[in-house]
Amino acid sequence: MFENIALGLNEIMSFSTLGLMLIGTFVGLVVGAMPGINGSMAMGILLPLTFSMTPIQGVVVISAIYCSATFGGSISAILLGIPGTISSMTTVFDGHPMAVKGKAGRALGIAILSSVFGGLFSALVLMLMTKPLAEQALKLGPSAYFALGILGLTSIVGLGGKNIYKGLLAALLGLLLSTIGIQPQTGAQRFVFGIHNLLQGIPFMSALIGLFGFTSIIKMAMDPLVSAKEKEKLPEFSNTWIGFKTIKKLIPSWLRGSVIGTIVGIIPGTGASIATFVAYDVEKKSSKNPEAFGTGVDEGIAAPESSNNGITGGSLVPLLALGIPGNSSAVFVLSALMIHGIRVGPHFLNENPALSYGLFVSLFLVNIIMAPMGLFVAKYMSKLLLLPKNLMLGIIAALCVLGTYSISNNIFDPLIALGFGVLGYIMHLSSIPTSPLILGLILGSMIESNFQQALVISRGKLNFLYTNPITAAILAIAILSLMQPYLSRSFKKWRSARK
Amino acid sequence: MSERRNGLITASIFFIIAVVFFVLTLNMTSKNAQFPRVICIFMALVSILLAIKNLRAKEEGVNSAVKIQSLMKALFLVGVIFIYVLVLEKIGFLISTILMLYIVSIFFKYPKPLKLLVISIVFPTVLYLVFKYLLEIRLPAGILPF
Repeated sequence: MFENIALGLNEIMSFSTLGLMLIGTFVGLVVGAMPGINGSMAMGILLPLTFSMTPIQGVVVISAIYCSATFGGSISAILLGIPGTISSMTTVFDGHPMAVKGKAGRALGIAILSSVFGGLFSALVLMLMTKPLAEQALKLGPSAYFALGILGLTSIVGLGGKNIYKGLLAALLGLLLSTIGIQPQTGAQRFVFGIHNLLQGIPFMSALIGLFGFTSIIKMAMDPLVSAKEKEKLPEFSNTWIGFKTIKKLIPSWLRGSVIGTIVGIIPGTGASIATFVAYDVEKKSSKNPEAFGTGVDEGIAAPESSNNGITGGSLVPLLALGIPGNSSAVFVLSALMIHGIRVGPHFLNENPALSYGLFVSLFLVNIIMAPMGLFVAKYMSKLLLLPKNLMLGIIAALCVLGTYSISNNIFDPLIALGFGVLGYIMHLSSIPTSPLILGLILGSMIESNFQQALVISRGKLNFLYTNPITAAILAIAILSLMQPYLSRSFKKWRSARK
Repeated sequence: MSERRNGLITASIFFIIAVVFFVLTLNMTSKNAQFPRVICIFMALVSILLAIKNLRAKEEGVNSAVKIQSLMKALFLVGVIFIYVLVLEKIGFLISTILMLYIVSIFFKYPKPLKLLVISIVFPTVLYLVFKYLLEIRLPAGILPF
């Protein structure tokens, strides 16, 4: 363990890697803080650039943005009352009222320390849990892997969305799109329609950049573009140090929030918004005066803030141990590895000890340097809002095109990205979630190849679906996760009937 | 568009996709067709379920309709980006990006044309130099000699 940590430290201790970590953290904080732009978009745009970096530099940059954008969103949540990212939605409840009361510094101070606590906690869990989980996963056969892939999809549908059917359709569309190109086992062409560029399948990076970059600028173009007049409302703040007494008081809230965030993060498919709402709710219920929540209490900021950063490390656990990304942000970390031909899954830790422990150690560092940097970005929040949206549209468009073009020096990639951008916008209009689509696209080939291997082992019979106990159990959980909204509804009815 | 109509349209589109792709699998060998066929069958089933759910629901709550005007704005943006990508290799990254940035920002009413002109030239140039010298990625030079 300690040897590996030293190995990881050694991996990242270079001027350029640390510099990239600082840049990634800063970019994440800034884009996280700007309403309308989020970390996913920044990760998407910067992803192609990681191609010219070493593998460790690539994952460090991407995961630094991931962690710090989560906190950056809270800066605008507190100062403006507008969450910069979805994961800071709950922070608005108490963070903004506290800022309005003239205690913006205190709110920011609590948010920062809570985020750092949650981030460090989840990084620790990631470091401790990935190896045992991967070792268990190594014992699984193809049929169980097939089932795990299905579970990854159904849980993002069942736990993430309001409409199960629409989520399922999106996941199925992703799976269907993943079959485009050459079938890896047989070498046959599927759904290529004579387009030479499609032989290698849908370029995954372009799909990501399209869905996160282009879709958001199309959304921005549709909104009436207001120049930032909000800066007049920005509350002033000076002292952000909250004192040891408050810290001691908040530690239980931090622990609760971090545990909730990390657990929710580990479950594939669950988003940050669930974790923050659950953490806020738990905090309110365990408080002595729950009615004060929403008026600007310390715990109301501490709980969601520690939980949303708890997500970050948690969502990387299934990714690094099983090859299944915990949420759509973890997909970017996966892509940063895939771009260098590194396969993620149970063998990842053993095959790449320096890289994986380098990632763990860098997560610790990012969460620590995020604190002073975050305060700096908060100071200049009003300047950030001055960036006019009507200029951002063209700049983001250019960056998206540039990013996709540089993947293979071919205009096919930006065109595919633009197509996915339009698709993402249509899906947004019809309230179909896009994350199942992404996960389907990623997991498709893994699900298919494991399914076919399982079929070969069982001599062409489908009975492995229920005779293998592990496979059957995972599939049962998958079905349950789809029924989760119905189950929780009937549970609520049952509980209210008992009262 | 009401939520019910939205659901019905979504269901029919996905049903059509499922049928089309299923038909496309008919001339594949069974090993290649197996997986896409299963997906298509599930997709057709789920879209039927979605349709049934919406047929049984009452027409209620009008969803905020998308205004034609803002739809045109989005179409313009997509159109400009599309042309930008098409001409990228022919006239080069620098000129095409400068033009795209200027046109898009003017269309979306950026207030200061002169400042915009400077930004439109400086931003792509910096990007071009960063890519060429720092990242060592060559972008299409097009008609320019550098």
